[in-house]
Amino acid sequence: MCEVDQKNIECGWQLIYDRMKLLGLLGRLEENQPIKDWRTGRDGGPGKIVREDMVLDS
Amino acid sequence: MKAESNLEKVLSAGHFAVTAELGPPKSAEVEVIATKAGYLKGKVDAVNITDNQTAIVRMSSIGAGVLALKAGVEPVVQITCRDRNRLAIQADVLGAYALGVRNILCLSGDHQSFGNHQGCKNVYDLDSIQLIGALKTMRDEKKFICGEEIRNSKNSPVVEPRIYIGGAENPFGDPSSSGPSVWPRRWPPGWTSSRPSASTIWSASRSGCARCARAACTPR
Repeated sequence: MCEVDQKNIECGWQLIYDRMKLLGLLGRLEENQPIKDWRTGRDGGPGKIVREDMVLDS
Repeated sequence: MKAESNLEKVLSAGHFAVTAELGPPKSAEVEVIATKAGYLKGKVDAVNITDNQTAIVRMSSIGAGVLALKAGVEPVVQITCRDRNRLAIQADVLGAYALGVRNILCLSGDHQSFGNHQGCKNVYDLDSIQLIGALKTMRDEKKFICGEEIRNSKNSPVVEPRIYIGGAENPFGDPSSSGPSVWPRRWPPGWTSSRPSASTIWSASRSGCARCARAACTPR
């Protein structure tokens, strides 16, 4: 169980570990993850996404 | 030798290092640090200085660490990822080094729900593994996380923080079958020592100890 609430919240790491083991992907937990780039997250300002598949040919 | 600290010398020589913990005061009282350091002086290889331990506000680990250094013990300043982003952490690493700190232990930090400011926002801009990598980048590549060299201007000398970098493993943490078994690849090669938190008793978990020893690059 989670150390934050041992009665109501399951351990997130245990869930991740069990799931990865089931999928045979435990090796992924051994990879170093790069530091996250927050420029497009939270207070990164308004964003713009173009759906190329929806753009009309001119 | 990366940092020439006493702890690095002990571990590099293949010895078992003994450290004890010195919790900074929950006030601006200075004397208590010298008193606690006095109990430990000459008895341990280095002294852990906690960083807002259990998410309870205390004197900063860097401030208390420098006071401990003046009192005659070698500090291992703890830095958690809970309270600061990458700007603040890198600035503090430079400041700590400038004030004589040579050992930094990289930790995630206890969840704020354990502490006395439960409504606070945690940060975790970096996680503890990334923090180790960040300190290694600063020390060995002499660059900040962003890639810029650690120098004041183009004509200034590069002056990097020569820090002995540590990480921690809790042999009682779930999931018990993961953890140190994945260290050699998961941990960047910059990490140079490992140490459990004060609440962890190594001898109580032989299997955990054995796993740590097998996995550690510098098994002690």
